[in-house]
Amino acid sequence: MENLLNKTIPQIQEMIAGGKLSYFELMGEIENNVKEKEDDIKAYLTLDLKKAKLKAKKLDGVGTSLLNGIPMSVKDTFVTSGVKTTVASKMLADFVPEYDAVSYKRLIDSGALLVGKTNMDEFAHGFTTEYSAFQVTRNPWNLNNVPGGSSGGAAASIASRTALIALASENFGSIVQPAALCGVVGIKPTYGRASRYGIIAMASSLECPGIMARCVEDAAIGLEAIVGVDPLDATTLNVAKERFYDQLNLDVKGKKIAVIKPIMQAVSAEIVLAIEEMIRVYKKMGVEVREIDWYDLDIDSKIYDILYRSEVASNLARYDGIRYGYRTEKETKTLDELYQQNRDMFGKHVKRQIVTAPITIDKDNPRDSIYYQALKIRRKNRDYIDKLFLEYDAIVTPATTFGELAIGKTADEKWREENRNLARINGTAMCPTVLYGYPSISFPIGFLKPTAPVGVHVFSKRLNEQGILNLAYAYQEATGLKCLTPKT
Amino acid sequence: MKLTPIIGLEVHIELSTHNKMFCNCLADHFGTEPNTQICPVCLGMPGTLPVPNKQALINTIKIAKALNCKINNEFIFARKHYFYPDLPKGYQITQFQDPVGSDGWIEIGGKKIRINRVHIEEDTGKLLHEKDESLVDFNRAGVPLVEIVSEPDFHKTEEVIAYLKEVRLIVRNLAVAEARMERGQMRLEPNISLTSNVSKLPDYKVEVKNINSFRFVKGAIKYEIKRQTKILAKGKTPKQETRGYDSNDGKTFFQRSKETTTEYRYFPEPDIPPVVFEKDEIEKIVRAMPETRTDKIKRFVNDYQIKEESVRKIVEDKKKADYFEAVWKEIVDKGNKDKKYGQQIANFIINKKHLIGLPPKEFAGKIVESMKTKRVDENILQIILGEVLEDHQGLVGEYKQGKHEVLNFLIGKAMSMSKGKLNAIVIKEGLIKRLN
Repeated sequence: MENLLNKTIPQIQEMIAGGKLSYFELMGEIENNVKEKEDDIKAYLTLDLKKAKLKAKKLDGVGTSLLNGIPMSVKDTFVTSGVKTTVASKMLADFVPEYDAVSYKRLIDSGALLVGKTNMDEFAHGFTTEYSAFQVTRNPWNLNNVPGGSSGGAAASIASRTALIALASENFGSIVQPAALCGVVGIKPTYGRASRYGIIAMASSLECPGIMARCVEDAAIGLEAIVGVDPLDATTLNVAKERFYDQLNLDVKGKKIAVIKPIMQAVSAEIVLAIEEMIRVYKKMGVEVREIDWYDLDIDSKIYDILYRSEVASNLARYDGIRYGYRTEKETKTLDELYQQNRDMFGKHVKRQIVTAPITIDKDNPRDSIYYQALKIRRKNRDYIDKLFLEYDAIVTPATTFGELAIGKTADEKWREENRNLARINGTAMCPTVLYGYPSISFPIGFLKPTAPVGVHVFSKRLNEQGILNLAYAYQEATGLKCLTPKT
Repeated sequence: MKLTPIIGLEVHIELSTHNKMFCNCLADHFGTEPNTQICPVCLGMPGTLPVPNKQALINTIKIAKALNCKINNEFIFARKHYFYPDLPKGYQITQFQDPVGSDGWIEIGGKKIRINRVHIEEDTGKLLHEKDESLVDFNRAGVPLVEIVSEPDFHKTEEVIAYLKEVRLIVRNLAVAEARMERGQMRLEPNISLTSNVSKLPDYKVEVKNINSFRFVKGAIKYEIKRQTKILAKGKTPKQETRGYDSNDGKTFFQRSKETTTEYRYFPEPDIPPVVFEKDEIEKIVRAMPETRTDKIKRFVNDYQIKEESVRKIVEDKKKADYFEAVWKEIVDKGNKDKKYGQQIANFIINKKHLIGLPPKEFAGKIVESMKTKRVDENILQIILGEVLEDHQGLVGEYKQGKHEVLNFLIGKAMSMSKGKLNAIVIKEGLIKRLN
């Protein structure tokens, strides 16, 4: 049934409505894929297929809706009641929450079925999913490569067809980059448009839930389900719900997009080639494409770093082993010793973020503290990009500056040294959307080679999710780059 | 060398809102079974988020307003980091910059005590120490807690106690807190230092933490003054430190020094956007507040034309003030609009306490009666004085030349003419007025 899993969600629902397929059979197909591929890919930390199949059976014959019975994977940073939630950390290795993340709940309430919880970098610190405390996830296109991260398990689950929709979270390319490396579509809405309640917090002011899927239609359907104001999250925005899927529109004629020139000058020729091809396609559709300069290639990364480390150290303070999570079995004499023992269970990379948190606010001179300085520049840069959006409908960057990445590479000092500039440029491309809350989408635009898809990253002014979905949709339909299937 | 105590106060008061500060758990935790009023949010479970309780913010605005604070247009929450088992998130959500209220004051015994700030935060859980183990009860975790910080404006223990009583009265009057000390709903932290030069603050202060009775505050201050005086007498400066108070022996004891103070690493709470109250929203809250004492004094002085000195005596007791207004209403209802009634009612309430038991209507009757008599008497007085002066023009001349002894003769004449209806003092005053 290879064909079945190359159909879009609306096509599958049509088959089910027409009696050609059942939800139970659909889930069976997923189960087969899990059996066949999961041992190699290792996208999941926890699988819940038995329950999913039972639920699928109950859905049959009761009617259809877009997300009804759709097999879904959920990044292990979202709490799921009754299902182990670990954030890929030994700190929460046995944590089974009794409450649900709101985005997850909204998808479940729309009918989606949980296949399992996907792997990630521990507490989302990383961009390769190699820093999970439990396992390394492989890229379904090339098992020697990383799937990207931190939502690497999510991207791999979609690419390997062990889920049709993935709930993931974005923070410094956490959706954008793995989506690109795995040849799938990833979208994150405007900050505040979807609830963060139940995402195990890394950096509160930066992260945001999002969706990964095989095609733009499915991504639109998933996104539609998770957006909306939430009384449990004070940072959510009270804006009307939109019908992203119904309003997908191929007509992008007259839209203006900007390509950031200094980034293009820094990435490899093959990525530039892919983006030039994309520009050619867009121009043919009547989209205006212009190259623009950028204010500073380093500043956003620096602001990000200050805010990120401060927030991470703060958010991870709660893991003290007193109420839940890892607790040492050793006898401890003092409270400090107990904390030390318990918190030692954090991985090396997580510990580094915590101990390098800048001294944030000086009690005597709060306005002079580095944190406030960062906030000040953050506002200034936001205003700068906001102004650009008065002229342009979207800004385009590569979805990753690394074409493909072999497992183990990032641990290699030499590789790190050689790729310092690419890492820096990657920050320039990924930071604006998380720092300033713009909606962004990542979608495949071609291949560097048959086992290495390449993606582009498109972001726009706040609350313009429909705009970027339409741009991606028009491109997908014009090129047929849709539901890409790894040949492995 | 004469040393003057310099004392400031931090007061924590639990608000009596229905729900906790950032979740929907019940806030009233007194006497509850441990860990029965908890949820993922107040336990700081992974992924949970705080949503501020609007009623708690409104109540904090009321307290700040009653303490004559400037209300900020934007309230910003901040995280204060430290590790302790009763603190679920590893940080307390409190306010750092832009608290609810700042720069206030209240008057205690004619002295202005400045309020530095009024802010809202969440309470912590409670540790229960058993023989071999320590347990944590989180029912109190997340209960809204208002912190009122005074400037170091106190010099005497009596002022401190009067201030604390006034603050307690204010929050109770606003019906936003019960402030029952024995239940831990009001907790006090005096900071004490001594100086030989009142115009300059000493370069140290000693904070005494978590005291839950007025008596203990008195004890702690008394002990600290003694302890610090001894140190200063030796020519040394007491150390800046935090101390506890042992109510058994009435002594304070060392807890931690400035050097080992935690670096709290405050930063703005990213999970809660700044809370904005529009101006008219704040006005609405203020309008719905019961009148503050200061406003009441102003109103009594202006509306009833009473001397401020008398007003203070009435307004200190809500019952007296209410009685005054009930009596006033009776008099005005009868069509008496004369402002002079105000002072007369005040005088009666202050001087003739035994009458306060009467129904306001009867009391009003007595006031009206007394004013009438007074007016009739005034007429009689002038007629009689006129006749006496007419009859004794010679003596009047002598008086005007400085022979003041004649006054007593004239008073005697007038008294016998009035047949005892006028008293000597009234006659004397009247005579002097006319003779001058």
